[in-house]
Amino acid sequence: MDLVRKVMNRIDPDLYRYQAGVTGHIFNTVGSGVKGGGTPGYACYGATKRGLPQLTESLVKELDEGVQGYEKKQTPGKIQVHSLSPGMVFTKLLLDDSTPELRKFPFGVLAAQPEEVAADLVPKILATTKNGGSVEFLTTDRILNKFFERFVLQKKSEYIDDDGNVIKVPGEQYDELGVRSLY
Amino acid sequence: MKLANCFVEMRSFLLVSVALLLFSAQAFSPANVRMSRLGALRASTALGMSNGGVVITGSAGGVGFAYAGEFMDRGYDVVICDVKDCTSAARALADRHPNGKVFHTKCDVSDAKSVDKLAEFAKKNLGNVNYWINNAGINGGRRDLRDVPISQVELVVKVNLLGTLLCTKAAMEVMGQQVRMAWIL
Repeated sequence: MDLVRKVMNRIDPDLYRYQAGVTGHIFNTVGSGVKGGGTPGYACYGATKRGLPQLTESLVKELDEGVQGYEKKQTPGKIQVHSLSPGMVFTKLLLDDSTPELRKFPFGVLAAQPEEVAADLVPKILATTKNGGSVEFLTTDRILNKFFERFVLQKKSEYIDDDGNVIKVPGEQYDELGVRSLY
Repeated sequence: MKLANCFVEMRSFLLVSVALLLFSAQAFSPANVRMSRLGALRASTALGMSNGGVVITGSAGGVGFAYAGEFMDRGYDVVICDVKDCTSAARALADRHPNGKVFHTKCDVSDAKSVDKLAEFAKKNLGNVNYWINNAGINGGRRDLRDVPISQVELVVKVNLLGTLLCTKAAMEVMGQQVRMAWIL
Protein backbone atom coordinates (compact mmCIF):
# COMPACT_ATOMS: atom_id res chain seq x y z
CA MET A 1 0.00 0.00 0.00
CA ASP A 2 2.86 2.30 0.77
CA LEU A 3 4.26 1.87 -2.72
CA VAL A 4 0.85 2.55 -4.26
CA ARG A 5 0.61 5.68 -2.19
CA LYS A 6 4.03 6.90 -3.27
CA VAL A 7 3.23 6.30 -6.93
CA MET A 8 -0.18 7.93 -6.77
CA ASN A 9 1.10 10.96 -4.90
CA ARG A 10 3.32 11.71 -7.88
CA ILE A 11 0.40 11.75 -10.29
CA ASP A 12 -1.64 14.92 -10.51
CA PRO A 13 -5.19 13.96 -9.51
CA ASP A 14 -6.53 16.25 -12.22
CA LEU A 15 -5.24 13.76 -14.77
CA TYR A 16 -7.71 11.07 -13.82
CA ARG A 17 -10.45 12.94 -12.05
CA TYR A 18 -12.95 15.52 -13.24
CA GLN A 19 -16.05 17.29 -11.93
CA ALA A 20 -19.30 15.74 -13.02
CA GLY A 21 -22.63 17.52 -12.59
CA VAL A 22 -25.04 15.97 -10.12
CA THR A 23 -28.77 15.80 -10.84
CA GLY A 24 -31.00 17.06 -8.04
CA HIS A 25 -34.67 16.13 -7.93
CA ILE A 26 -37.42 18.29 -6.41
CA PHE A 27 -40.76 16.65 -5.59
CA ASN A 28 -43.91 18.72 -5.01
CA THR A 29 -46.65 17.01 -3.02
CA VAL A 30 -50.13 17.27 -4.49
CA GLY A 31 -53.40 16.41 -2.76
CA SER A 32 -57.20 16.69 -2.89
CA GLY A 33 -58.41 19.09 -5.54
CA VAL A 34 -55.32 18.70 -7.68
CA LYS A 35 -57.32 17.51 -10.70
CA GLY A 36 -59.78 20.41 -10.47
CA GLY A 37 -62.71 18.68 -8.76
CA GLY A 38 -64.31 20.64 -5.90
CA THR A 39 -63.10 20.08 -2.34
CA PRO A 40 -66.05 21.33 -0.24
CA GLY A 41 -64.84 22.38 3.19
CA TYR A 42 -61.29 22.64 1.88
CA ALA A 43 -61.57 25.47 -0.65
CA CYS A 44 -58.18 26.99 0.28
CA TYR A 45 -56.39 23.66 0.46
CA GLY A 46 -57.80 22.51 -2.90
CA ALA A 47 -56.87 25.78 -4.58
CA THR A 48 -53.25 25.56 -3.40
CA LYS A 49 -52.93 21.92 -4.52
CA ARG A 50 -54.52 22.61 -7.89
CA GLY A 51 -51.75 25.12 -8.59
CA LEU A 52 -48.84 22.77 -7.99
CA PRO A 53 -48.86 20.66 -11.20
CA GLN A 54 -48.99 23.94 -13.12
CA LEU A 55 -45.94 25.20 -11.20
CA THR A 56 -44.12 21.93 -11.83
CA GLU A 57 -44.99 22.09 -15.54
CA SER A 58 -43.69 25.68 -15.84
CA LEU A 59 -40.40 24.77 -14.15
CA VAL A 60 -39.95 21.68 -16.32
CA LYS A 61 -40.22 23.91 -19.42
CA GLU A 62 -37.90 26.57 -17.95
CA LEU A 63 -35.31 23.92 -17.13
CA ASP A 64 -35.59 22.05 -20.42
CA GLU A 65 -36.05 24.93 -22.84
CA GLY A 66 -35.32 28.15 -20.93
CA VAL A 67 -37.42 31.32 -21.11
CA GLN A 68 -37.95 32.93 -24.51
CA GLY A 69 -35.89 36.08 -24.99
CA TYR A 70 -33.36 35.08 -22.33
CA GLU A 71 -30.28 32.93 -22.58
CA LYS A 72 -30.93 29.45 -21.23
CA LYS A 73 -29.35 29.08 -17.79
CA GLN A 74 -26.42 26.65 -17.77
CA THR A 75 -25.46 25.22 -14.39
CA PRO A 76 -22.97 22.52 -13.40
CA GLY A 77 -25.69 20.65 -11.48
CA LYS A 78 -28.82 19.52 -13.28
CA ILE A 79 -32.31 19.99 -11.82
CA GLN A 80 -35.53 18.05 -12.31
CA VAL A 81 -38.97 18.84 -10.85
CA HIS A 82 -41.68 16.23 -10.32
CA SER A 83 -45.10 15.64 -8.76
CA LEU A 84 -45.60 13.39 -5.76
CA SER A 85 -49.05 12.12 -4.77
CA PRO A 86 -49.31 10.16 -1.50
CA GLY A 87 -53.12 9.91 -1.72
CA MET A 88 -54.96 9.65 1.61
CA VAL A 89 -52.77 8.86 4.59
CA PHE A 90 -53.94 8.32 8.17
CA THR A 91 -52.34 11.47 9.58
CA LYS A 92 -53.54 14.58 11.37
CA LEU A 93 -54.10 16.30 8.02
CA LEU A 94 -56.67 13.64 7.03
CA LEU A 95 -58.39 12.93 10.35
CA ASP A 96 -58.60 16.50 11.66
CA ASP A 97 -62.27 17.68 11.53
CA SER A 98 -63.35 14.38 9.91
CA THR A 99 -66.76 12.71 10.45
CA PRO A 100 -67.60 9.00 10.96
CA GLU A 101 -69.15 9.00 7.46
CA LEU A 102 -65.96 10.34 5.86
CA ARG A 103 -63.90 7.85 7.84
CA LYS A 104 -66.07 4.95 6.59
CA PHE A 105 -65.83 6.22 3.02
CA PRO A 106 -63.51 7.20 1.43
CA PHE A 107 -60.90 6.89 4.22
CA GLY A 108 -61.82 3.33 5.27
CA VAL A 109 -61.49 2.16 1.68
CA LEU A 110 -58.68 4.23 0.19
CA ALA A 111 -56.56 5.66 3.00
CA ALA A 112 -53.31 3.95 4.00
CA GLN A 113 -50.75 4.07 6.81
CA PRO A 114 -47.70 6.39 6.44
CA GLU A 115 -45.24 3.46 6.44
CA GLU A 116 -47.10 1.67 3.65
CA VAL A 117 -47.25 4.82 1.52
CA ALA A 118 -43.57 5.65 2.06
CA ALA A 119 -42.46 2.07 1.31
CA ASP A 120 -44.32 2.28 -2.01
CA LEU A 121 -43.28 5.81 -2.96
CA VAL A 122 -39.59 6.05 -2.06
CA PRO A 123 -38.50 3.36 -4.59
CA LYS A 124 -40.62 5.15 -7.20
CA ILE A 125 -38.99 8.48 -6.28
CA LEU A 126 -35.53 6.91 -6.67
CA ALA A 127 -36.50 5.41 -10.03
CA THR A 128 -37.59 8.77 -11.47
CA THR A 129 -35.11 9.92 -14.12
CA LYS A 130 -37.18 12.07 -16.47
CA ASN A 131 -37.91 15.73 -15.73
CA GLY A 132 -41.61 16.36 -14.95
CA GLY A 133 -42.24 12.86 -13.63
CA SER A 134 -45.27 11.92 -11.60
CA VAL A 135 -45.13 9.51 -8.68
CA GLU A 136 -48.36 8.37 -7.04
CA PHE A 137 -49.53 5.91 -4.41
CA LEU A 138 -53.18 5.67 -5.46
CA THR A 139 -52.71 4.41 -9.00
CA THR A 140 -55.83 3.45 -10.96
CA ASP A 141 -54.88 -0.19 -10.41
CA ARG A 142 -54.67 0.22 -6.67
CA ILE A 143 -57.96 2.16 -6.46
CA LEU A 144 -59.82 -0.47 -8.51
CA ASN A 145 -58.33 -3.20 -6.34
CA LYS A 146 -59.38 -1.47 -3.11
CA PHE A 147 -62.92 -0.89 -4.42
CA PHE A 148 -63.15 -4.52 -5.51
CA GLU A 149 -62.01 -5.79 -2.11
CA ARG A 150 -64.42 -3.53 -0.25
CA PHE A 151 -67.55 -3.57 -2.40
CA VAL A 152 -67.38 -6.92 -4.21
CA LEU A 153 -65.55 -9.14 -1.73
CA GLN A 154 -67.14 -7.18 1.19
CA LYS A 155 -63.80 -7.11 2.98
CA LYS A 156 -63.81 -4.91 6.08
CA SER A 157 -61.35 -2.07 6.60
CA GLU A 158 -58.33 -2.87 8.75
CA TYR A 159 -58.28 0.68 10.06
CA ILE A 160 -61.89 1.93 10.38
CA ASP A 161 -64.71 0.02 12.14
CA ASP A 162 -68.39 -0.19 11.07
CA ASP A 163 -69.23 2.91 13.13
CA GLY A 164 -66.59 4.98 11.41
CA ASN A 165 -64.11 4.98 14.29
CA VAL A 166 -60.39 4.41 14.00
CA ILE A 167 -59.53 0.84 15.04
CA LYS A 168 -56.89 1.11 17.75
CA VAL A 169 -54.23 -1.58 17.58
CA PRO A 170 -53.15 -2.76 21.05
CA GLY A 171 -49.66 -1.55 21.92
CA GLU A 172 -49.91 1.49 19.65
CA GLN A 173 -50.50 5.06 20.82
CA TYR A 174 -53.21 7.30 19.36
CA ASP A 175 -54.06 10.96 19.90
CA GLU A 176 -57.61 12.28 20.40
CA LEU A 177 -58.13 12.44 16.61
CA GLY A 178 -57.21 8.77 16.21
CA VAL A 179 -53.82 9.55 14.66
CA ARG A 180 -51.33 6.79 15.50
CA SER A 181 -48.06 8.01 16.96
CA LEU A 182 -45.08 6.89 14.86
CA TYR A 183 -42.53 7.23 17.66
CA MET B 1 -7.14 -18.50 -30.55
CA LYS B 2 -4.92 -19.08 -27.55
CA LEU B 3 -3.02 -15.90 -28.18
CA ALA B 4 -6.25 -13.90 -28.41
CA ASN B 5 -7.47 -15.36 -25.11
CA CYS B 6 -4.18 -14.45 -23.55
CA PHE B 7 -4.59 -10.84 -24.69
CA VAL B 8 -8.13 -10.66 -23.34
CA GLU B 9 -6.95 -11.98 -19.99
CA MET B 10 -4.04 -9.59 -19.88
CA ARG B 11 -6.30 -6.71 -20.70
CA SER B 12 -8.76 -7.52 -17.93
CA PHE B 13 -5.88 -8.01 -15.49
CA LEU B 14 -4.56 -4.58 -16.40
CA LEU B 15 -7.97 -2.99 -16.05
CA VAL B 16 -8.44 -4.51 -12.61
CA SER B 17 -5.02 -3.30 -11.49
CA VAL B 18 -5.67 0.21 -12.74
CA ALA B 19 -9.03 0.22 -11.00
CA LEU B 20 -7.41 -0.97 -7.76
CA LEU B 21 -4.69 1.65 -8.02
CA LEU B 22 -7.20 4.40 -8.57
CA PHE B 23 -9.38 3.17 -5.76
CA SER B 24 -6.56 3.21 -3.26
CA ALA B 25 -5.48 6.57 -4.60
CA GLN B 26 -8.83 8.00 -3.67
CA ALA B 27 -8.37 6.94 -0.08
CA PHE B 28 -4.83 8.23 0.36
CA SER B 29 -4.01 10.93 -2.16
CA PRO B 30 -3.91 14.63 -1.28
CA ALA B 31 -6.95 14.86 -3.54
CA ASN B 32 -9.04 14.47 -0.41
CA VAL B 33 -7.71 17.79 0.79
CA ARG B 34 -8.52 19.32 -2.54
CA MET B 35 -12.03 17.85 -2.37
CA SER B 36 -12.81 19.63 0.87
CA ARG B 37 -12.39 22.91 -0.91
CA LEU B 38 -15.38 22.12 -3.10
CA GLY B 39 -18.23 23.06 -0.84
CA ALA B 40 -20.82 21.13 -2.77
CA LEU B 41 -18.88 17.91 -2.58
CA ARG B 42 -20.13 15.04 -0.51
CA ALA B 43 -17.67 14.03 2.19
CA SER B 44 -17.30 10.28 2.24
CA THR B 45 -16.61 8.87 5.66
CA ALA B 46 -14.12 6.13 6.34
CA LEU B 47 -16.99 3.89 7.42
CA GLY B 48 -18.85 4.02 4.16
CA MET B 49 -20.17 6.29 1.48
CA SER B 50 -23.60 7.83 1.67
CA ASN B 51 -25.77 7.22 -1.37
CA GLY B 52 -26.74 10.86 -1.34
CA GLY B 53 -28.62 13.52 0.55
CA VAL B 54 -32.35 14.10 0.99
CA VAL B 55 -34.30 17.05 2.41
CA ILE B 56 -37.90 16.43 3.53
CA THR B 57 -40.06 19.31 4.77
CA GLY B 58 -42.82 18.73 7.31
CA SER B 59 -41.19 15.53 8.49
CA ALA B 60 -41.70 15.55 12.29
CA GLY B 61 -44.47 13.01 11.71
CA GLY B 62 -46.79 11.40 9.19
CA VAL B 63 -45.70 10.43 5.73
CA GLY B 64 -42.71 12.85 5.78
CA PHE B 65 -41.28 10.98 8.77
CA ALA B 66 -41.95 7.64 7.04
CA TYR B 67 -40.19 8.79 3.83
CA ALA B 68 -37.10 9.61 5.92
CA GLY B 69 -36.89 6.04 7.25
CA GLU B 70 -37.21 4.54 3.76
CA PHE B 71 -34.44 6.78 2.38
CA MET B 72 -32.16 5.98 5.33
CA ASP B 73 -32.71 2.23 4.87
CA ARG B 74 -31.35 2.70 1.36
CA GLY B 75 -28.18 4.43 2.56
CA TYR B 76 -29.25 8.06 2.10
CA ASP B 77 -28.55 10.81 4.62
CA VAL B 78 -31.65 12.83 5.45
CA VAL B 79 -32.43 16.31 6.77
CA ILE B 80 -35.79 16.36 8.51
CA CYS B 81 -37.45 19.65 9.46
CA ASP B 82 -40.76 20.99 10.67
CA VAL B 83 -42.33 23.98 12.44
CA LYS B 84 -42.41 21.57 15.38
CA ASP B 85 -39.25 20.42 17.14
CA CYS B 86 -37.81 17.31 15.43
CA THR B 87 -35.49 16.09 18.18
CA SER B 88 -37.49 12.98 19.15
CA ALA B 89 -38.37 12.22 15.53
CA ALA B 90 -34.67 12.30 14.64
CA ARG B 91 -33.79 10.07 17.58
CA ALA B 92 -36.42 7.50 16.55
CA LEU B 93 -35.15 7.51 12.96
CA ALA B 94 -31.51 7.14 14.03
CA ASP B 95 -32.43 4.16 16.26
CA ARG B 96 -34.49 2.35 13.63
CA HIS B 97 -32.55 3.10 10.44
CA PRO B 98 -28.80 2.80 11.01
CA ASN B 99 -27.97 2.71 7.27
CA GLY B 100 -28.28 6.46 6.89
CA LYS B 101 -27.62 9.56 8.96
CA VAL B 102 -30.35 11.95 10.08
CA PHE B 103 -29.98 15.68 10.76
CA HIS B 104 -32.79 17.84 12.05
CA THR B 105 -33.63 21.51 12.19
CA LYS B 106 -36.62 23.75 12.61
CA CYS B 107 -38.11 25.33 9.51
CA ASP B 108 -41.19 27.36 8.68
CA VAL B 109 -41.48 26.86 4.91
CA SER B 110 -43.65 29.97 4.56
CA ASP B 111 -40.76 32.14 5.76
CA ALA B 112 -38.04 32.94 3.19
CA LYS B 113 -35.30 33.40 5.80
CA SER B 114 -36.17 30.14 7.50
CA VAL B 115 -36.05 28.33 4.13
CA ASP B 116 -32.64 29.86 3.33
CA LYS B 117 -31.36 28.60 6.65
CA LEU B 118 -32.71 25.14 5.87
CA ALA B 119 -30.88 25.13 2.53
CA GLU B 120 -27.62 26.16 4.24
CA PHE B 121 -28.12 23.51 6.92
CA ALA B 122 -28.70 20.86 4.24
CA LYS B 123 -25.60 21.86 2.24
CA LYS B 124 -23.46 21.81 5.35
CA ASN B 125 -24.65 18.42 6.62
CA LEU B 126 -25.45 16.49 3.45
CA GLY B 127 -22.92 17.83 0.95
CA ASN B 128 -25.06 17.17 -2.10
CA VAL B 129 -28.84 17.33 -1.98
CA ASN B 130 -30.04 14.70 -4.44
CA TYR B 131 -33.71 14.82 -3.44
CA TRP B 132 -35.75 17.65 -1.95
CA ILE B 133 -39.28 16.59 -1.01
CA ASN B 134 -41.74 19.46 -0.52
CA ASN B 135 -44.03 17.58 1.84
CA ALA B 136 -45.08 20.21 4.40
CA GLY B 137 -48.76 21.11 4.13
CA ILE B 138 -51.82 22.04 6.18
CA ASN B 139 -55.55 21.92 5.44
CA GLY B 140 -56.75 24.84 7.56
CA GLY B 141 -59.75 22.97 8.98
CA ARG B 142 -62.78 21.55 7.16
CA ARG B 143 -65.53 24.14 6.91
CA ASP B 144 -67.36 26.55 4.64
CA LEU B 145 -64.93 29.22 3.36
CA ARG B 146 -67.21 31.87 4.92
CA ASP B 147 -66.47 30.35 8.32
CA VAL B 148 -62.72 30.00 7.87
CA PRO B 149 -60.85 32.74 9.76
CA ILE B 150 -58.78 34.97 7.49
CA SER B 151 -55.66 33.97 9.41
CA GLN B 152 -56.27 30.33 8.37
CA VAL B 153 -56.87 31.30 4.73
CA GLU B 154 -53.54 33.09 4.73
CA LEU B 155 -51.75 30.27 6.50
CA VAL B 156 -52.93 27.54 4.10
CA VAL B 157 -51.79 29.57 1.08
CA LYS B 158 -48.52 30.52 2.76
CA VAL B 159 -47.55 27.00 3.79
CA ASN B 160 -48.86 25.02 0.81
CA LEU B 161 -48.22 27.39 -2.09
CA LEU B 162 -45.73 30.05 -1.00
CA GLY B 163 -43.83 27.40 1.00
CA THR B 164 -43.51 25.16 -2.04
CA LEU B 165 -42.32 28.10 -4.16
CA LEU B 166 -39.74 29.27 -1.61
CA CYS B 167 -38.42 25.75 -1.02
CA THR B 168 -38.29 24.99 -4.74
CA LYS B 169 -36.35 28.21 -5.37
CA ALA B 170 -33.90 27.43 -2.56
CA ALA B 171 -33.50 23.81 -3.71
CA MET B 172 -32.84 24.93 -7.32
CA GLU B 173 -30.18 27.34 -6.09
CA VAL B 174 -28.39 24.53 -4.23
CA MET B 175 -28.84 21.86 -6.89
CA GLY B 176 -27.60 24.02 -9.77
CA GLN B 177 -24.14 24.24 -8.17
CA GLN B 178 -23.69 20.57 -7.28
CA VAL B 179 -20.82 18.50 -8.65
CA ARG B 180 -19.00 15.33 -7.68
CA MET B 181 -15.59 13.99 -8.61
CA ALA B 182 -15.63 11.22 -11.20
CA TRP B 183 -12.94 9.01 -12.76
CA ILE B 184 -11.93 9.63 -16.33
CA LEU B 185 -11.88 5.87 -17.03
